[in-house]
Amino acid sequence: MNHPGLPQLIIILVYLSALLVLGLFSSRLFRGTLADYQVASHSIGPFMLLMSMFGTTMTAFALVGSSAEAFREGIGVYGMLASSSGIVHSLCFFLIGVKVWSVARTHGYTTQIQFFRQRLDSDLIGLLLFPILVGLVIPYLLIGVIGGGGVIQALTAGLAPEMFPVLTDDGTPDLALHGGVPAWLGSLVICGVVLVYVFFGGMRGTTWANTFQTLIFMILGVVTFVVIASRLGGQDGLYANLVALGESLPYEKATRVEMSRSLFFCYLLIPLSVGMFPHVFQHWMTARSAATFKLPVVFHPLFIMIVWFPCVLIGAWATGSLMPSEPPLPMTAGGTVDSNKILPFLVNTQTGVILSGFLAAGLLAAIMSSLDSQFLCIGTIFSNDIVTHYVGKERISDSRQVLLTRIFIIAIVAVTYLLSLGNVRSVFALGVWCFSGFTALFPIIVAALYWRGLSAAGAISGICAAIISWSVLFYHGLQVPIEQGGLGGFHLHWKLGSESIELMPVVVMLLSSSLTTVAVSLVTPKPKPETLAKFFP
Amino acid sequence: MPTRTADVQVKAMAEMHASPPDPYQSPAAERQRTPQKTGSKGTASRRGGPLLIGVLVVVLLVLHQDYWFWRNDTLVFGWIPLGLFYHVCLSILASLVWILATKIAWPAETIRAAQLATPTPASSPTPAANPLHSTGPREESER
Repeated sequence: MNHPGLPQLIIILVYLSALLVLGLFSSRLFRGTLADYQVASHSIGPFMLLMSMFGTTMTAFALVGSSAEAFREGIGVYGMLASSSGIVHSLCFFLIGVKVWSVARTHGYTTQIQFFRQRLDSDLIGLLLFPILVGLVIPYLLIGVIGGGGVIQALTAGLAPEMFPVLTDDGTPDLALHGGVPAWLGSLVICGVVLVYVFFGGMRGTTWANTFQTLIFMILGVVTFVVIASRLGGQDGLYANLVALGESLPYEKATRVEMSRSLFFCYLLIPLSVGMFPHVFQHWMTARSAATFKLPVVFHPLFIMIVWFPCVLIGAWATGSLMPSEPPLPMTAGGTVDSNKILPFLVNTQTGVILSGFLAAGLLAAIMSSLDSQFLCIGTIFSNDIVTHYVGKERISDSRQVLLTRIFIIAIVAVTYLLSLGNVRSVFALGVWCFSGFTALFPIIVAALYWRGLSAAGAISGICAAIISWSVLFYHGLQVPIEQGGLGGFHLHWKLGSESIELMPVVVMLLSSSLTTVAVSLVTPKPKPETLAKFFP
Repeated sequence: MPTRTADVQVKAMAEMHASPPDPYQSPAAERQRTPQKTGSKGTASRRGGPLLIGVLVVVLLVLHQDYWFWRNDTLVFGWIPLGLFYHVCLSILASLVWILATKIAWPAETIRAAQLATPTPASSPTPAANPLHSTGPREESER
């Protein structure tokens, strides 16, 4: 058991096995209906809805990405995304979640596409939204797959140096990763485990697994924080260590002097994406009653705080003077610090082997609790909005539908997995682009719920404006050299007099989709009065 | 899908409920537990609640842009950078605002309409078998 990386590997394997058992156990509670498989028969209570929705929205982006970005940008990352999400996510649950739940329960919808098709009397909108939603979920999946593989590799470093060597440019072993289970293998195992328990447990299994995993990563996140603080500080007692670490922070990381104020403002728009996440929509549908939403609305900001606060501080501490120089920080192929691996690196080097194994499980819990919902959601929209909608429920056997849906999910996971093998440098940047796309679609759901004047042509034009602006800007983002921040370093500049204001691409996307939706809706025919009467009684 | 007739029935049912049911619990439980809001005072309260929450959310968003602490590196309690501490407090404040929102601005009318229109389990369309799990016909027969 003293072999480097072995205890961590054993604990990770035990944890993954436990998840499989949980998935199989929850499949015994399965009621054999489509509604149970896709939305757990609308039976989920407040606590499990809170845990599953929180677990779903917190992914590698929240743990690995937040600590990585805090390493680069300092403590301002918390304000950029955590406190803003606490306000905006709950606002979306409150204004959109409850309303969507009411409408969808009334008319029997499970997916966003079903809702939009009926609300706008348009089949085309479903056909347009399907590839866009799946296309935007893929980068989100990618975040989890990359994060999971990276965590396993960093935390099992030293396990089999001859089998899995990782060398730096000068040919010496990269001690932070050398001998660890390769990221490609770790990612593959994670995808396999999640697929199995999603296939067997459906939404009920996913919700159980999410609740279990959310508890795990929240508890272990706090434990990680305390243990790393105790080790890094080098003092006696937790408080003395915290003070030492606080004082070790460089000025630019303890403040936001290097952060653009206009970009900080723009980040307020990113959490709006939760209003259009298809997997969150599906979780909303699991709620037993509208009152079930109260707990998530109230506790979501606090839960975000519990997860983000320690991660941001740990990432910032890693830039401080108390950070040991040995072993060296994990590096990328380009010779810069691989900030995505900062948190697993610290867990591996600053905690005991058993604890680091448990903490690895905690990190994987956060990552997998998002992957499962996304896998399930992709299967659901394919099943409901493509197979059943176009082929007809009566013309396709259940077993055939099972087969097609499984093939579709596996194909999407395979595409995601192959993309994860590329050189994705920043989980955070990838996440921000993915969320920006969903934010660009946000005006469509708001208008569909609250504006009688929305027309099908308006919504379709708005969606086109969102996705075209996203694609054009993403293309420009890809042209930014790595040295200038790559995708994450792409910003727009707005000349205002003599000043140049930096803007995030999401501002342009949101404005273009909003203006197009409103303008086109004003001059095109509205849905039929009987349709409007159904949604605006 | 509900028909136009069903919609008319829903409206009629809503009108019949002079004492509205609990938007979150069963109608019978609600009638036993919750005193009804009637008259102009109740209406004003229902309108004022969302307005107050709207104002508070705007205040939260303004407070979020804390340019005043941008360059301040003071350590609160000796270890938390002020910029971080401030935003942690903002998270807690947001939670308090949402508690208030669930008390005074809960969209009860919307939920009530949905509850009245929601088909009972017995009248729901027959569910299909699990599209992803195991074999459909066996599950159909188990039901």
